[in-house]
Amino acid sequence: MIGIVFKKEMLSHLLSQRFAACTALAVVLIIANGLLTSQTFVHKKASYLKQRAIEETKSHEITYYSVLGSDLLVSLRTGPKPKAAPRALRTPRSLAVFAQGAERQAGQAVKVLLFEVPYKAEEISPFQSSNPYLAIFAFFDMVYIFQLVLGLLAILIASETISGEKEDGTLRLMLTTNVSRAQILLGKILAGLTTLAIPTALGFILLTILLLGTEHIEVGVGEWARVGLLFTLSLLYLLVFYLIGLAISCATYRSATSLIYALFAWALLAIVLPNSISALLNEQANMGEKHAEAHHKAAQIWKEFDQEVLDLVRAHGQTRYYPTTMVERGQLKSEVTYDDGTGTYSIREGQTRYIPNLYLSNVADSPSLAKFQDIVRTGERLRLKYAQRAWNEKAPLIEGFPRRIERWNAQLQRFLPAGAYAQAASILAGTSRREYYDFIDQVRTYRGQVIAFLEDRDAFGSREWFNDDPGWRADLRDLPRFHERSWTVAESLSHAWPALASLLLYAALLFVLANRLFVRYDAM
Amino acid sequence: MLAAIVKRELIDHLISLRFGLALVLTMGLMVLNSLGFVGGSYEFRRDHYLEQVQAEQEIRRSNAQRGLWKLILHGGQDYIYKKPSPLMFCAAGANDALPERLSTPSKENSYNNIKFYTPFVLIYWDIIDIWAPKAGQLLETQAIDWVFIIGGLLSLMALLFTFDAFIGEKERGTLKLVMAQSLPRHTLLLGKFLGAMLALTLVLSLAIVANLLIVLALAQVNLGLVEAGRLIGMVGLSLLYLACFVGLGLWVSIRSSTTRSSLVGVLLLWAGGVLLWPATGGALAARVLVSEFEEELVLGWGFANYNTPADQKLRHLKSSLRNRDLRNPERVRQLADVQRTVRQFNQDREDRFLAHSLGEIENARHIVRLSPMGCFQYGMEALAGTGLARHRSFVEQARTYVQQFEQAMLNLDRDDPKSMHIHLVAQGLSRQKIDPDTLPVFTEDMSATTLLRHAIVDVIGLFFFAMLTYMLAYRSWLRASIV
Repeated sequence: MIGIVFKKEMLSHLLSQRFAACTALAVVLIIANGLLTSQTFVHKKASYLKQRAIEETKSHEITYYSVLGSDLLVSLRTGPKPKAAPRALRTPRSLAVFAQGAERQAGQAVKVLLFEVPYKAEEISPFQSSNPYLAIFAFFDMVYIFQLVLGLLAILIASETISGEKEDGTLRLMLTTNVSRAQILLGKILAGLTTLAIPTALGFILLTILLLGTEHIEVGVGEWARVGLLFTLSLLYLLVFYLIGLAISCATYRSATSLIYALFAWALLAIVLPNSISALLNEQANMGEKHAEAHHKAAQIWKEFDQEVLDLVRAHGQTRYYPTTMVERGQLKSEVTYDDGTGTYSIREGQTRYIPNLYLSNVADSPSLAKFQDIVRTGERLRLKYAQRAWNEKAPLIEGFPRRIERWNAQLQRFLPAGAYAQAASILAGTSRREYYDFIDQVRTYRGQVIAFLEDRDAFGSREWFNDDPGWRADLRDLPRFHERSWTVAESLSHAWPALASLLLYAALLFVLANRLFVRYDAM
Repeated sequence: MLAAIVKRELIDHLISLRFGLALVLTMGLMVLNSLGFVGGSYEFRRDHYLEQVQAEQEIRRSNAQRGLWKLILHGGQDYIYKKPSPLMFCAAGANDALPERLSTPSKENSYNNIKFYTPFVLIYWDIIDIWAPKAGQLLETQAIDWVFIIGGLLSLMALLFTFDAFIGEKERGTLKLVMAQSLPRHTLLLGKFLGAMLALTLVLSLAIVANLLIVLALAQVNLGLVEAGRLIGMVGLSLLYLACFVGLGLWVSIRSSTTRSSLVGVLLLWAGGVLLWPATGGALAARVLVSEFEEELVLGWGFANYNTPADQKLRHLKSSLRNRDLRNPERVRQLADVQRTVRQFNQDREDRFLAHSLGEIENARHIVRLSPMGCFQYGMEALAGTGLARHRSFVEQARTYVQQFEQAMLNLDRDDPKSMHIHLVAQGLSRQKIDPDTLPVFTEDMSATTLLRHAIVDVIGLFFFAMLTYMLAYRSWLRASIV
């Protein structure tokens, strides 16, 4: 009996104008945005691969250890090479075509500097085309289009199923048969879901074809599983919206009224509330201020460091030093230079700069070499300590705070079907902000390994720290490599679980609500 | 007769369910918008801006102390900052995606213990800013600003107020009754149009008043006459924009055969044209229209390009000069000539880059303007002093300022008898000290009229859309059957 209701509903849905129009709109938008996102992905992946090749050869080219402390590799022998510090790379997520998540903001590369605790990834190349002003245009992922367009379709087709049939008088006829009301409702829900599955499947097929045709793409079992999960998730979301429409339809007696209510419910749940939560949090978070404060605090710490190094150098007697303080761009930066005839060694906000023409020549002939090495050994360990201290000051502002905001956002969004859908989708697609944070944590562990590696070899006190004369070249071939560990499908699923559970709960509650309303519905 | 229809329509709207829902939704969002602005990022942005301007003042002061030559070569500052607009709650624009300052770097280098100064070049997008983390972009989301509330949601309300204006009355049979009175068709159309517009104006004004009251009462922001002018401009623009949708709703209502199809029609037009087109269309158009600018220009961009023949010549010349040569006007003039070529090249590169990039973006924006939402968004951004229009206005004014500053300093140099009057070389210019307080300071004109000049296309566009939809409705209505 459900079959008859199902068939009738399906036919009326499929033949309706709204179905055709929404499907067409969704398909056009998905193709347009899919092209844009995949283009971005290709660009990102290309620069990722290029940078990965550079990282592979880098350890052979680096000839003195202290390069790991700064981002500027200067050597008289090899000439200047930008971006010397090793970079931990994050693979661009191909499934961003489905759900962008934080992919547009999250960078791909983290500089692993010794004297700075890494906390964010940067883009490998700063903009996606030669025109930086392009960034003023946003574009959407599939999830957003489904959220709006198919969500609208779901709520539209559902809002008329009961009140519309009541108006047409067909509901009474249907109730005279021996079909139970629950069965009618179930048949309608199944029909609605099947109808909605058609444009959803179309979108997925189109995007998958687009994705398979994209350069640099590797689609493994994991990716297929993720796409499958995303499909199921999308259907679940649409089911929730269908049920919202159905509940409204069961609560009203005129199709015009139910349409208006449904539209407002849609505008509120799919657009207004999810955006309002994030927009409000964003505006109140005011990260610019946090960054400025963190910068200021760190500068204070580094000033202490400069003082301590100065004392250290003084304690060693023989070394000349030039403390200079300059006011630059409103922020106090201090610079300490000490020079013992072998070279100049300067500290500026904890970042080492070497002036090589003085530095690399005649080191061996210096009588004070051993003393200088002593200073460097103690000084660099001190610097590591201060880097940690500076980070401890900065962390609550530029890491703890945004992560907390993100968590609040995630928790609040979970209360909304649209928010839960977007959240679960980005986690399943591997583009979530939480996975990005996880990557940053991995990089920090990696930095610890690099430090352990250097300590192991007493690199700070060695001549190879600053010198690459023949016989004194640093050997970085055994330097630990960074391996990104992205979430497995099971891990993603476990992280997406709360959002999924929220959607399931919504579906269950709404079904019960719609059923209760329908049981009491007056078909006359 | 018109008044009677308008009154009837207005009352119909006011007692309808949709009016109540629209009012609650719009008011709620406007209150949310103002509460987000209070204690939001604006105060920080403003203080940060003032701090930076103060720092630039210090630079100007120290340059003035060193002498006129330094002011001529270095300009008045390192960076020219864009003032954050207090009206950013009206249109957030893509403000964080655009640079917050222009730079005028000048370099100092020495050859044979002689210091040389490279004259400044105006750079429109500092390479450092491209890498810098953008403030206030923690979560990627749509800002809840006036553009979103009015452009996105109130336009939907306009459509919901009108989608059944004709078809609904036809279905109920009242249209025949109305037309049975000897009523000209255009009067009925105008009456319905005005009735819907009045209802929307009521929603809009209540929401805006609530919004502004909260902002004025709670936010630490000074809104003066200039801002008032801009706000009035924005309200006018909003009404023009809503008129487009009232006309559109009426047109679809006349053309549809049932209320349901009318609703689906307006909904899809709205979802496509308002919600999704401005972003997608712009991005798509920009990708299609973008032509690759010369690669080396982009790579060398922001850094001095050291390897042009002129650069090499300049370096060679500098290293061959001795101290006494710099007292010889002939040699100094020779150096100035080469310096001029190099500077011209660098400035040209920046200018071409700006013109090229903005040209592309403008073309993409024209595509976006195919939707009234595009026109509305850009017009609002221009009036709010955010977004690309404001940025262009800022860049133009900064460029004029820099040129005028240099000219004024050169005029002062002309009055100094001890100077050789050779521009672009420190040694050829006056060493007179200048009173820093007499120097011209950059002030940006942000009055509504100046800003509107950058939004004139958008105003015309909206006017055109409003006319077009009304004309379409009118034409269809004249031929429509009322039974």
